[in-house]
Amino acid sequence: MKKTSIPPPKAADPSTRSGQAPSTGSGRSLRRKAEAKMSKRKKAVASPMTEADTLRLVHELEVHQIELELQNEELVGAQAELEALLHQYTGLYDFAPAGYFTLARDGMINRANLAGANLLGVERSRLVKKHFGVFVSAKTRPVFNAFLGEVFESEGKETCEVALQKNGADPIWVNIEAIKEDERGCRVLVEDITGRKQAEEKADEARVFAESIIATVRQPLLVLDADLHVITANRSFYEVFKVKQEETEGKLLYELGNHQWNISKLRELLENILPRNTKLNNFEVEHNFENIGQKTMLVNARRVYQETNRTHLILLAIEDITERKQTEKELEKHREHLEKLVEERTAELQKSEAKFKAIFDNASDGMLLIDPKTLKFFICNTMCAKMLGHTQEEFLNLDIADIHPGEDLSFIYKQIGKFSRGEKGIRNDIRFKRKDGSIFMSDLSPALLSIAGKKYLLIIFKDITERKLLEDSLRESETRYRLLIDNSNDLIQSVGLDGRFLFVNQFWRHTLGYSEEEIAGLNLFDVIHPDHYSHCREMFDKVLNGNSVPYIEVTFAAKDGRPVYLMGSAVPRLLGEKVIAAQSFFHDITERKQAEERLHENERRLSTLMGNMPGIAYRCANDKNWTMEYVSEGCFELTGYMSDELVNNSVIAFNDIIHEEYREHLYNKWQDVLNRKGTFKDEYRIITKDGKEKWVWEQGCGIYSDDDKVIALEGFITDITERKQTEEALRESEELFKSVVHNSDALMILTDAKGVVTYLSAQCENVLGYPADKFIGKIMPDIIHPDDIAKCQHAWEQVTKQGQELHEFEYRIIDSQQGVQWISHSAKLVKVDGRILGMQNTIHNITKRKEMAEALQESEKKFRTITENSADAIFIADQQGNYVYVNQAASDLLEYTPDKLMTMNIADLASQDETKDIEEFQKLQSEGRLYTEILLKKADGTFLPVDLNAVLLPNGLNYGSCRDITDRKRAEEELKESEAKFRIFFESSPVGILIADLETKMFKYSNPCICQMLGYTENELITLNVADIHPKDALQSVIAEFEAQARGEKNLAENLPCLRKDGTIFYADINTIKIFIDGKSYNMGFFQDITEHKQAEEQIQKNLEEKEILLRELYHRTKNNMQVICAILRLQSSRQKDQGMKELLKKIEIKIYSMALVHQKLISSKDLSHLNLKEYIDSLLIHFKQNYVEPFKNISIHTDMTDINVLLDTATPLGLILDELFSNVAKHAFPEKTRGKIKVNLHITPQNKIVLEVSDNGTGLPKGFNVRKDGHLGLETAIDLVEQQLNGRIIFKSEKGLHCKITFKKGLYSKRV
Amino acid sequence: MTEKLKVLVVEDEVLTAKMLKMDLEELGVNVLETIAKGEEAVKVALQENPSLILMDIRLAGGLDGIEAAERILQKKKIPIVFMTGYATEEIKKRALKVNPVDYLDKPVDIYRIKNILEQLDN
Repeated sequence: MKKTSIPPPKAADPSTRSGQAPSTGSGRSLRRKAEAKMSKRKKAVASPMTEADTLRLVHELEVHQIELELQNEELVGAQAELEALLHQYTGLYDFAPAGYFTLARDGMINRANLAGANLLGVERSRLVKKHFGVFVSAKTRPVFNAFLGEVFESEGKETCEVALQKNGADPIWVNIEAIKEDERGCRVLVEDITGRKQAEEKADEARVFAESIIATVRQPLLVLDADLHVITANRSFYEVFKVKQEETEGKLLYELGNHQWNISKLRELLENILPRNTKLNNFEVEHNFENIGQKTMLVNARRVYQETNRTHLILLAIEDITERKQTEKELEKHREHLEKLVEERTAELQKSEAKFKAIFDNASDGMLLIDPKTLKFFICNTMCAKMLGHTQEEFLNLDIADIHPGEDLSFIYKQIGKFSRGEKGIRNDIRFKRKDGSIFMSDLSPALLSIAGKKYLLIIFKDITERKLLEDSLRESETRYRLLIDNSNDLIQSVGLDGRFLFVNQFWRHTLGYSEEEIAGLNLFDVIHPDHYSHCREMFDKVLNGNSVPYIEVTFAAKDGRPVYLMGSAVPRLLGEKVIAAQSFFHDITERKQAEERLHENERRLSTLMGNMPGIAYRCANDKNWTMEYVSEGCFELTGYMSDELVNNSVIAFNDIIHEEYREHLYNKWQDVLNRKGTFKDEYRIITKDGKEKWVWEQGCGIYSDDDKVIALEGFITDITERKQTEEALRESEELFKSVVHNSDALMILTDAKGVVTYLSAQCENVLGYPADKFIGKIMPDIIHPDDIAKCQHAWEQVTKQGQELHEFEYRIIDSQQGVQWISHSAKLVKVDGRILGMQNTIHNITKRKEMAEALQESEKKFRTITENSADAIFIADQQGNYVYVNQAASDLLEYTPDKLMTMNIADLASQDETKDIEEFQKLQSEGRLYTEILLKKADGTFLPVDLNAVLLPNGLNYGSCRDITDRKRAEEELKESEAKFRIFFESSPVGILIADLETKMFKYSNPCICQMLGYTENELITLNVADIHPKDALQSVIAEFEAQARGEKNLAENLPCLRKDGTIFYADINTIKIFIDGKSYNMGFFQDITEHKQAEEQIQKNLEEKEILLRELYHRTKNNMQVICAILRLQSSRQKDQGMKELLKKIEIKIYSMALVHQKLISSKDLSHLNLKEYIDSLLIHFKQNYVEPFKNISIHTDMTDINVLLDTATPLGLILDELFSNVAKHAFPEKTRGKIKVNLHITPQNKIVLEVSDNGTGLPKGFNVRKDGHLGLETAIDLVEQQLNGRIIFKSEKGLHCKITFKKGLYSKRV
Repeated sequence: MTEKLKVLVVEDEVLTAKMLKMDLEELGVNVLETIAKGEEAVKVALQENPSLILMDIRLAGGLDGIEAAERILQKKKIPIVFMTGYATEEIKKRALKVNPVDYLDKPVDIYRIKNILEQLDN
């Protein structure tokens, strides 16, 4: 509030005390009032008073006056004080911090202080008689109005809160207190509570926010007042403690839930602890609630002072820790138990540690713990330090580099890294370096350990130096023995107790055909021949019992099933006392056994054979007779001779029964065989006793003495007649089949029962793309396409297992070029007596067929697509005309459904002219093709013109495509019409029209007019070309014209000579245009016979020339006549004595000459109407000079003239004018015969005016001489000629001579001309 | 000019011929009698042997001036000056073939003839 000083009261006026009239205004006013009053009272006084009375009265009056004065002084002082106070209070009022108003009952403002005016935002002076409500916001105005009513009804103070609306500003909230002053007005205090409102709103927001937090918080929350009554609790409190809001709020805490909250601990907290502290956390309270059981709660308490209420609030956050407590108890139990266990365990560990420490320290191997991160040694055992030559204490101060050779360090670090990562690393043959620098080899065993949570790398290593040495020597020894064993020709094996092979030598592997890998999986009894199992088992057991078996014969089975006979011994292999393996040494006696068997078999066979063989076994001498020493019994059956008949050639020598053809050959062959000590084999014919021929096969060999001499021949001869016959038949058959097979394009494959290929025909490479040798003797390799393998396997199974035949089974193979080939495979089993001998396969390469089929399919698909999508209607009908296929376009064209069309016949759609349609159909059948236009009947019965393109397909079907030609027909009609129109024009044109091929220049078309022009018929013209219709001498230019026209450089060739058939020539203007007919370009020439025209032109030209000549002649004659007149005048003049007459005649002559000169010039002019004015004036001047010799002797004439062509009508008067001018000059300009100059200037202005100036530098005109008035006839005439005839102007200027300027318009007489 | 210069004027227009003769005589030139016909011109020319022949092209008679000049020049080399009122190109070509001294349009410039004579005289 603004402080203002209150002025001191004024002092009382002293002059008023002495009874003098007051000097002040108010004093004087009072006096007057008093006197006035006095005068009124004076009339009431009746009797006069004594002096004493008077004195007394005066005294009384004076005292009274003084009293009054004193009172007045007091009053004035009081007034001053009051004024001061008023001022003060007015100041207080005005500058009060709150708005003070005095309002009328109706709300009008009677008075307001400055603060109030400021609150309302209006000047105080303008507030009076304004309604307060105007300043209240519309929203709160009803509140204000109601408040105002209450103020006047109530005797006390009323308050309300409203919002005041300042101009455009945010509303401000005010608190209005009002008290009734009287019935007419009230006093109003208005305080700005905007800040408070905002704070309240913020507080509300905060409260709402806090309430939301409280409501959201899961822990139960309580708000208590200072008296421990519940102000509010959150939802969680109600849920956890199962109480209701209405039973809680406002209640004393201890009374909640039927005094369940009367908990001593809680009381302690709230009554003792919290009052001394504003907050307490984690206060534990345990209580057994009736409805929720035993609960342990952790309470956080806060004492909060509320400034607004000046009171404390207590906030309790309660956490139910009952479960946690229980868990803690259990954990505690477990912990105790664990502690117990740990103690026990620790004791064990300690014991164990002691044990392991003992083991660690006393281990025979070096043990070392390394920190893998720092690579520092953590701990080492005694042996480790000892092995490296250090003490343990020394060792722990070393690092990796100290215990390995320097060159191995990077390798060592690498391995340590690997071990640290748990990788395998290299552990063997690691070099260590002793303290003394010596190196020893070691094998490591690394392990990762975790000790007290930290990883360590445990390295256990041992000095393997001795072992290495031992190993080396053992290796050497082993190698030696291995070499011995491996190179042995015996089978050496070592079999473990379980029968598995511990070792076999190379010869063993080679003999039995197993690889080392296979042997690893073999057992002894896997290789024992089944027949020898029991014997072998017995021997094996014997050996395993520690006994040696010095001799065994056993049969093994090789990998390929072949029996291998072995003979050898077996001994136990001992490790100490214990047998660990059975070692055997065998010798392969297979060959011997086989030989023995063979021998036995041979013997047996031989004896059987001998007895039963159908041939002859013999022994004979090596002589020409083949003298038999022994012949077996089969001799009779073979030869018809008994054996004894042949022995010693008793009846007949064997040679004699040999067919003569073979005797020599056989003998020679035998000798050859004997020389080689080979075996004789041959076939030949013999003649039996009964004269039959038989084929025999002989095999024999020589029997030699010790000195290699042939003692005898032994062998046997057998009848092979049947075989030979069979062979022949077979050969023939084979030849036949071979021929069939080889010539067949199919590949024939024969396989045996095991699937091995026994035969491949020659087509192998063609069919499969591989040479035959790839397959022969082998099981067919897998050349099947991976995608077809499954189906092929299924097919084979059907053949091989189910015995089905495979018929044209198609699948793909990969050929030798990695290409894919399709093959068709037929196969069946070949059985004889139910036994499968093999499989017969016929394979065709169908790749091309497949490709073709695919192509065909593709093509078919393509064509089907084309056909289906074709805009043309496509019909396919059989030979009877029934439709077997129609496309959509056909259906759309004829407005039948495709199904309907498929039930129809060609005839159903035929036009009314059946005969024609039948003929067409027949034509198609006979010729195979048809192209025609037909009418097809639509569904609505109308006929549609179509063009039909039909083809007879190879399969006998008729294919036709139709296109609606309605539009085309219409167009054709229009074209015909148009063609007719143009034909009329063409035919009847009065202009000759020829159409010539641009390239060949041959004529294609001609109209009657040109035919008439040239005298050829149309047919003749189309055999001619351009050169034929023009004279030869003009041909070059004509062709040039033609070609220029063809190039489009010009259209019109004028005045070309044309040669008629009869040889006459006419001239024509030929106008051409380039046209296209059927895509070819032609020149279309329009011939206009200009002969008449030309003749007319020539005639005109001739006439023109004639007229020109006549005109020239006329001019000439005129000129001549004028010259004659000039001559006469000259002659006459020459005869005259009178000078005047002479001059006159001369003058006339000159004038006539000037006119004659015009005609002269016209004769030589181009157009016979215009002459060159410059040339004319030049000639004129020459003549003047010639005629006015004397005067012009000293006169020089200068001309400056432009070439201007004028008509005769202009030149003639100009000539006369010039003549006049010059004669004047000659006469008057230079009278003293002085030297003079004449200038003649002729030019034409841009306005087409001719200006002719003639000037001289002579005497000029006499003073005052008026040319028009004073001039002589000549001048007068000249002026008239200029002004009237030439319609020009003539100006004379006499200044340093005479200057005459003539101006006239050019072309004045042009229209006349 | 000496009086030995003789000029033959061949002109069918008598008055023109007379005027020409007069003009030439005024210049001091000896002019033979004027001839109007071509044949006579040939005869007189061959006979009189003038120094210069002034030959009009269009003449009376069977010969025109060019033909007369040709005949004269076949026999004698006499300078010829053709005079013509007007002539076609064809006539001009014919005339020039005769190789005249000059070819003048009528009315002839007498001073030009004078110059020619002076040249001849020199």
